[in-house]
Amino acid sequence: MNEIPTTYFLFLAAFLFSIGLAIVISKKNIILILMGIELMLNAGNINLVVFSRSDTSMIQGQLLALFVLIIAAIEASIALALVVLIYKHFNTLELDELNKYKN
Amino acid sequence: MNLSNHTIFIIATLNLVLPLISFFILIFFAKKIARKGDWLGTAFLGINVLLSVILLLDLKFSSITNQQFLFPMDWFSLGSNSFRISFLINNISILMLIMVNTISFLVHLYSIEYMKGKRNYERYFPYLGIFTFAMIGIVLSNNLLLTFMFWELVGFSSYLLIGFWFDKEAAVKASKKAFLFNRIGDIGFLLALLIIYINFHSFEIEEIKKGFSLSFQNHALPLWISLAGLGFFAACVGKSAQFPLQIWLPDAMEGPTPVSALIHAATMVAAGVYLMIKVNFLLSPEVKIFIAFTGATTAFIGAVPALFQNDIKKVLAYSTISQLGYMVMGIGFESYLPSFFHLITHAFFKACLFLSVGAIIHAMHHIKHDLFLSGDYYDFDAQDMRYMGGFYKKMPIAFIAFIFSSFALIGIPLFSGALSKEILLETSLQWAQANAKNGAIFFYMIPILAYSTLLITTVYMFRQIFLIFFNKFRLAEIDPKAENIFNKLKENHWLINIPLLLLTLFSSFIVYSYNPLDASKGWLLQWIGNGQLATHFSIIPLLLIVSGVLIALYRKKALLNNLEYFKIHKNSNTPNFIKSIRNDWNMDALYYHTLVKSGFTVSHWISKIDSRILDRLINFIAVVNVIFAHLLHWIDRYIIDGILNLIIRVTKLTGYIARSIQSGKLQNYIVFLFAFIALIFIIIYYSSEA
Amino acid sequence: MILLFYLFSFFIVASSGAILFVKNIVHCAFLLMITMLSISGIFILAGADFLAIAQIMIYIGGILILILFGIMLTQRNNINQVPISNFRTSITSILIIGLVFTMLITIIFKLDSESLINQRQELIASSSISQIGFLLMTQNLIAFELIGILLMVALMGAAMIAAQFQDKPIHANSSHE
Repeated sequence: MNEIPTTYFLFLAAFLFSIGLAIVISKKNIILILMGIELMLNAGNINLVVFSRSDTSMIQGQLLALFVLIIAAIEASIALALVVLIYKHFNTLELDELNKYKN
Repeated sequence: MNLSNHTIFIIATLNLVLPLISFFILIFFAKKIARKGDWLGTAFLGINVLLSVILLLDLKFSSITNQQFLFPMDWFSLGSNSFRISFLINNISILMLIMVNTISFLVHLYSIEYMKGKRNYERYFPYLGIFTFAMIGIVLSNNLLLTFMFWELVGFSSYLLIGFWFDKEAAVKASKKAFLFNRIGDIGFLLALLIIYINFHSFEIEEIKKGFSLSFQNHALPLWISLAGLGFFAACVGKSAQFPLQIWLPDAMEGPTPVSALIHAATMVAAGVYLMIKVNFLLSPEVKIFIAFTGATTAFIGAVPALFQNDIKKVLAYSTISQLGYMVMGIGFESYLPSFFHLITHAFFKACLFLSVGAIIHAMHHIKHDLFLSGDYYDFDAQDMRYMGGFYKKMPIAFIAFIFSSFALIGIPLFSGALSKEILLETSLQWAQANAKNGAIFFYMIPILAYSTLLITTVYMFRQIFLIFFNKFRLAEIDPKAENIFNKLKENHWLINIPLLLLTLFSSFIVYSYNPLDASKGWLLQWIGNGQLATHFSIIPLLLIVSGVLIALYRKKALLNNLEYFKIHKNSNTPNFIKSIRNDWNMDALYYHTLVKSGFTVSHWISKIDSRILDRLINFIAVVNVIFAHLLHWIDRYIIDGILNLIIRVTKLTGYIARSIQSGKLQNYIVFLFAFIALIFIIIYYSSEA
Repeated sequence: MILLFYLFSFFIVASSGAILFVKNIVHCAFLLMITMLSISGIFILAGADFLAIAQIMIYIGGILILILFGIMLTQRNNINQVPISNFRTSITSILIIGLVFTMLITIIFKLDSESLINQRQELIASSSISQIGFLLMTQNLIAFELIGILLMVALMGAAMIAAQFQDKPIHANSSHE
C-alpha cells in the first residue's frame, strides 16, 4: 500500500473527473447527467483519500470524503425525486425538450 | 518748313484715324444725320488731303535728303519678344498717301452726286471710310504684321464695296470671288511673314533691312529668302490681279463706278505693287525673273480681252490688269522707282477714266429711267457700249477727261502715262539685253510682250473712245423714243465735273515734270530717285502708237458693220474663240472645271467617308458604353453585393456565436465554465512559466 | 499492489468510458455500479478501508437502486433507446475534456512528488474505522450532528416530493416549510 505513488491516484482521479464532465456535457437524459455528477464527486473523493495518506496522524481527508459521500447520497435522492416529478409533468426527460418548457 | 517730330506724328496719326472715325460715326448715325452723312465723310477726307499735303511739303523741303520718320511704339510683348509698330513716313509713302487721300476725296465728292437716290446710301460712305482707313494703314505701316492686318481689312472692305448692291446676285458672287482670290494670295503673305520672323525676329521693315544687309551683303541668298519673296509676290498676285489670279477684277465691276475708281484704279490693286516695292530687298534674282515674266504675261493677257469687250467698265478692268502687269514687270527689272511712278500716274488717269465712264453710265441710267417712265420699257444693259454713241456733244467735260486719261493710258507723249511707261519699256529692253547675254533668247519675250501690249492698248482705247463718244446715239436707232431723251441730256453736275477736271489735270505731264518727254529731271523722280533714271526718247513706242491708231481706224468699218448687225439682232455675231477671249480667256471655266469641281468631289467623298466612319465610331462607342455598363452592373451585383452579403453573414455568425453563450442550456453553461477555467489556468500557467 | 491498482483503474476507466458511448440507460447504470465497485477497491488500496465499505453500501446499495428505480419509473416509452448526443456536442465535449484533462495533468506534473510520500506508514496496518469514529465524536462533532440533521431533512423532503403525485395527505411528521 505504500508503494503506489500518489500521482497515479491523482491521474486516475483526473481522468475520472474528465469523463464525468464529458457525460454531463454531452448527454441528454437527466439521469445520465446525474450519473456523471456522481462520477465527478467520486473523483474528488479519490483525491481526498489519497491526500490524506500524507497526513501524519489525522485522517481528515477520509473524514471529509465520508461527508462528501453522505451529501452525494442526499443530493442524489432529492434529485431523483425531482426527476420523477418532472417526468410526471412533462412526460419526457430530455434536456432539450425540457428547455422548451422554460416559461 | 520744319515741323517738329511730334507734330508730324500727330498729323500722320490723324491721317490714319480720320477715315476710321468717319466710318464709326456714319455706321451708327448715318440715318439720323442730314443727307445721310455724305458731307461728313467727304469733309474728313478733305482734311486728310490737306494733312497729307502738309506732310509732303514738310518732307520735300526739309534740309535732309531722303529723310524718313519712324515713330516706333511698343505694342505688346510676348515673353521676351516685344512687338513694335512704327509709322513709315518717307518720300514714297508720302506720295502714296497723297494719291490715296486725293483719289478717295474726289471719289467721295463724285459719289455724292452719282449715288444720289440709290438704295442703301447710308452704308456707302462708311464703307468708303473704312476702306480708306485700311489703305492708309497699308501705306503708313512699317510693321509687316500690321500691314497684313490692314491688307486683310482692305480685302474685306472691298468685299463690302463690290457687293454693295447685295440684291444683285452677280454682285454678291463677284464680291465673294474678289475676297477669295485675295485670300489665296494672303496665304503667301502669311508664309512670308513666318519665314521673315523666324529669321529676323522682327516684323519691322527697317530692322529687317538692317539685318538683311548685315547677313547677306554680297553673299548668295539662301532658299528661304526666295521663299519669303515668293510669298510676298503671291500676295501681290492676289491683290493686284496678276496672272493667274486676275479673274476677280473684271467681275468686280459689279460694284458702283466710284467704287471701281477708288479700288481698282488707284488703291487696292496698287497695294500689291507698293508692298513689293517696300520689301524689294528680299527678292533674289530667280524670284525677280519670275516676277518679270508674270508681269509681262499679265500685261499681255490683260490687254487682249479688252479688244473684245462690250461692257464699258470691263474694258477698263482689263486695262487695269494690263497696267498692273507693267508695274509688276518693272519690279522684276529692279526698276522700283519707275514702277512706283507708273503706279502714281496710273492711279490718277485710271480714276479719271472710271469716273468719266461713270458719268456716261449715270446718263444712260437716267435715259433708261425716263424711258421706263414714258411707258416704254426696253430692257437693255446700261453699260453696254453698243447702245452708246455721240456723247461728245452732250458731255464735253467727261469727253475731255476721257480723252486725256486714255491718252495717258496709251502713253502718248505730253501726258503723264507716257512719262512712266517710257521708262518701263526702255528698262525692259535693257534688262532683256543684259540677261540674254548667255544666249537665253527667251528673255526677249518680255520686251516683245510689253511693246505689243502697247499696241493693243492703243487699239482698244481708241475703239472705246469711238464707241462711246462718236457715231450716233445707237440706242435711239433701236428705240426711237430714246432720241428725245438723249437730246435733253444736260451737262453733268459740278460734283461730277470737278473731280473729273482735277483728275484730268493730274493726267497730264505738267504735274510731274516740266519736260513733257522726260521726267527724270522732274521734281517727283528727283525726289524719290537719285536722278539716275535717265531716259532717252525712243521712237519705237511712238511708232507703235501711231500704228495702233491706224489699225483702229482701219477696223472702224468692221466695227460699224458689227454694230449694224447688233441693232437688228441684238446680239453679236462674234466667233466663238473671240467669245472665249472676251470671257477672260475662259479662265473662269478653267478654274471651275479643274479646281472647283475636284474640290466638290473630294469634299463630297470625304464627307461620305466621314459620316460613315463617324457613324461607325459612334456606334462603336455606344456599344462599348453598353458593355461597360453591363460590366459595371455585374461588378455591382456580385462583388459589391457579395461584400455586403459577406459582412452580413459575418455579423450574423458573430451574433449567433455571441448569442449562443446565453443559450439557456445547462450543459452549455457547464462547458463555458470549464472552458474559461481552463483558459485562465493556461494564462496563469504560461505567464508564470515565462 | 500495483497490479491491483492497474486492475481497478482499468475497470474504472473502461466502465466510465463506456457510459459515454452506451446507448442503453440500464446498461449505463450497471456500468456505473462496476465503476463504484472499482472505486471502492481504489479506496482500499489508498488505505481508506472504512470509506470503501461505506462507498459500496451507500452508492451501490442506495444511490444506484434509486437510479434504477428512477430509470424504470420514467422510461416507459424508450427504455432501450437513449437519444444520441449530436455531433456538435461531442466535439465540444471532447475539446473541453481534453482541455480540462490537460490542465489537471499539468498540475499533477508540477507537484513535488517527494513531499507526497506516504507518511502514515504505521497507521496503515490498523484499520481506519476506529480513527474515523474517534475523530467524528471529538473533533468533528458538529459536522456529525449537522449531517444527521441534513439527512433527516433530505428524507422528509424526498418524501414530500414523492408524495405529491399520490393524492394522499402528507405525513404528519413532516412539517416542511
